Amino acid sequence: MLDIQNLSKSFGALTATDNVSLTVKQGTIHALIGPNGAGKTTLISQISGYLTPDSGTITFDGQDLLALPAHKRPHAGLVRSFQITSVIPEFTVRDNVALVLQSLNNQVFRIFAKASADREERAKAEAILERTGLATEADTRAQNLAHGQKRQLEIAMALAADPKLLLLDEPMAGMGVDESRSLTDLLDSLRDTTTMLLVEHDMDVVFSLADEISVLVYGKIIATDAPEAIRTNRDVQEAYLGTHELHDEGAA
Amino acid sequence: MTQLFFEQLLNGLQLGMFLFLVSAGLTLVFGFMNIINLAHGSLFMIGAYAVAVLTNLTGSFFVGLILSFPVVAAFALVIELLIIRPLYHRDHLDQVLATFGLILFFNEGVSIVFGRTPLFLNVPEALSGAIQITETFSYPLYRITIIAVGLMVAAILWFIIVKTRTGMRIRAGTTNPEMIRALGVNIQALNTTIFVVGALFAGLAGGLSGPLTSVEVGMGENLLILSFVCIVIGGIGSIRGALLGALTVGLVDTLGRAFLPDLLGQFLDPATANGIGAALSSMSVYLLMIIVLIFKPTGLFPVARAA
Amino acid sequence: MLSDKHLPAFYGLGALILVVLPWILTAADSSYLISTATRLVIFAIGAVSLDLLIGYTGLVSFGHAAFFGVGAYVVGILAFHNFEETTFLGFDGTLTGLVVLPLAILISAVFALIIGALALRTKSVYFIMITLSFGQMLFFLFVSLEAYGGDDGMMMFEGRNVLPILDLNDRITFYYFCLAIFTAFFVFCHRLVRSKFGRVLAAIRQNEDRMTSIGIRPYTAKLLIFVIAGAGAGLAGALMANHTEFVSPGLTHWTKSGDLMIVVILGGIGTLIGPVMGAFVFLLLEEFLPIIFHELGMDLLKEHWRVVFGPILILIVLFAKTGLYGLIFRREG
Repeated sequence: MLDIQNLSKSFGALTATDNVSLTVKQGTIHALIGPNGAGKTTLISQISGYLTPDSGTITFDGQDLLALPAHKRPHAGLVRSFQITSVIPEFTVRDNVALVLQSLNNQVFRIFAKASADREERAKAEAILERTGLATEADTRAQNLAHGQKRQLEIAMALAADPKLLLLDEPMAGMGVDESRSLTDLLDSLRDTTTMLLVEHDMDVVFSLADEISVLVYGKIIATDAPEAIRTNRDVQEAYLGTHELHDEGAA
Repeated sequence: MTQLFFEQLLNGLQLGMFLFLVSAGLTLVFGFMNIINLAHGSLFMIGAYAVAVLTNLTGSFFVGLILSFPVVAAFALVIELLIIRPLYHRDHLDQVLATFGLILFFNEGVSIVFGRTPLFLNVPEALSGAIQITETFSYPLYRITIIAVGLMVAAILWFIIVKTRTGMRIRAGTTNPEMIRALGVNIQALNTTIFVVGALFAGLAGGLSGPLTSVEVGMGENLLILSFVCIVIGGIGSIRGALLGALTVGLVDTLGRAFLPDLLGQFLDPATANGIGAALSSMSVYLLMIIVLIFKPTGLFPVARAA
Repeated sequence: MLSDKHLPAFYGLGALILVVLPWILTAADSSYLISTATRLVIFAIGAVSLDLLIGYTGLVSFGHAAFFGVGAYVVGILAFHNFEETTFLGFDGTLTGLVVLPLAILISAVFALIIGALALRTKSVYFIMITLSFGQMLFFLFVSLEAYGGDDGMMMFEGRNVLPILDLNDRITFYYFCLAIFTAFFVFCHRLVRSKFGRVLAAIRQNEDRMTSIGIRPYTAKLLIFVIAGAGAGLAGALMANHTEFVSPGLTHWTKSGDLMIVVILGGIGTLIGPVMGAFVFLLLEEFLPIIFHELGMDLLKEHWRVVFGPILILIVLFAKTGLYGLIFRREG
């Protein structure tokens, strides 16, 4: 589904992505973990087209992704969600989702089609809200949602694009335990239809969802394996869990 | 021909210095305070009128010029406290409209007080002559003085911004407004200071321009818009960019007007060449800006801004 | 305070007033004000078109008068060549309204396309300054057109454009003609801002960065609305040239762009009826403030009414951002 080969990106002296190769297989949930500043979001941004890599290739669904401008990637089935919630604040929850449907149906430039008159779009949007547990908030303005609900809306907008591959950048960030659990269940229910690349700090979430895990440290992938194997991988323990221990000592 | 070229070169340099004096304040105020101030051109006009009036009162251009500083500073202070301060956290649209309102006020205010007839100032006696640069070529001393003043201001600004603690704060505040707040710098006082200093430069430029042009209502507006072009070319927030932009715009505008029609005359018949030449030269700086922005949408020396 | 629900009734009332206005003015023996009413209608077209950019898309364009000027110059130049019986780039001049007016719209749209394509590469304050500079550039271009009067502009010696049936040189007919065009444009904009495209514009205004990730390229959408707004301003300019039978670079001066922005903010940005009310009040002030000052014995302010208008504008910006619209309507939700 997604095949990254020898990808590199530097900002001045800092190498944020260091010769990364990574394959996400169709129908799997692939988790990308690593300490803060490892370059996870930078990698996601290159896949979604927000940043251009210095070298390397990304192939998605058989096509050269780097040749595709960022705004065309969602149309090809590659959709990302953001670590920092980014919705259309004055739109209702329903309209946020409807806007995505409009874009994916190539109806951006419809000057004479009244936005509120498209019943089919409205029904589709509401179906997605139903799935993501936001049905009761359809008429709420996005800016008035609670934080967890905004995160849910973020996922709903991503799903509205009917993605083949979903790039999730810390979907659980700032969520409470209950919210986090229901979102985990939601993602779990999508695993049959949607391939996912998941960046997440919450290890419970990662280990309960992921089919495969890659570990990114200082811009390098140091291991890619099944969850159980990652748990016992020495390099990972040293490089990744090790830094956690260091953090703990530092805090103590 | 070479003599004419040399003269126009100096003229361009001198226009560039005026533009720099106006642009410097504009770019500092925008870079540090994130304020777009259209009334900056009004401060230029106020400076010119203040110098004209005070020169007539005291009989000396130099005394008039010195005494105009507190006048301009007072105006700037009132503007900053009353109008600009409430605009800090407003969007650019509000800033544009409110300062546009200031322009209306000052333009009409000045024409109520002084009427529509322009005031004229003589070049001060001490600077009236010309300097013999080569045996056959001389250039007015007053214009050379203006170039010197511009360069001096540029040097002083460079020193303040690069070498002093205040300058460090200004640079920090331009790239990262949050950090400077976190450091506990008295940002309000610094804002006001920067605004007033920027206004003084504009007022100085206005005062100096008095003996060269007529002192009249709306005199600062063309210069203001050209200054926008300068700082857009140079990169908003950057003094170095403002200087470079101002010199470029000054030279392109002056040389374009002087030579473009002749240059086109080499290829076209005289009437067409004159027509197109006049059109092109009056648009040359804008064309220049467009070309710069096609290649560098944030100007030649963009100031990296932390989000 | 009315709510959004009363808008249709408000529209109806406004339309009724505009339709019967010539009778009222004639009855009140003030038929000279029909000319002012015509200006109002034309000005409103320009202001509404600018609000499509400022209010609906969040694009602070400071050069909108440029397109107004382009539309006017198309009318003026064609009239000039018709009068002189000369050609412009091989084309004959003409006064035929059915040719001139569509051409004015088209050419303003082309200018907007070129200017927009360049200006929209930049954002925020750069965009403000670029549009301002483009406006100035066209101003100086028109000034340098010596053949068309340069600084002084040119008169349309043969009167207004010619249409079948309608005699535009009759001032009441011309008023209704402008009113009809204004109405059509207003209805068009009303549909536009409620359309799917309008929804995209609103989304761009609120969160442009998010657009790419949902598959929308903001640049293209912004360019389209910039062209539509430019064409609208060009239409207004073409009507204004017909109205005054005079065209000059002054039409594109940057203060005219400022005036248009004032009208928009005065009426209420992000609304369609707001700019219309703004145009109404603006012209009312322009027309009557001098008279009022004269009556009050403040003749000094009569000529310089803007000295009062400047501070009023500042106060509106600082304290009444929702404009007249906000005074009359409370927005739902």
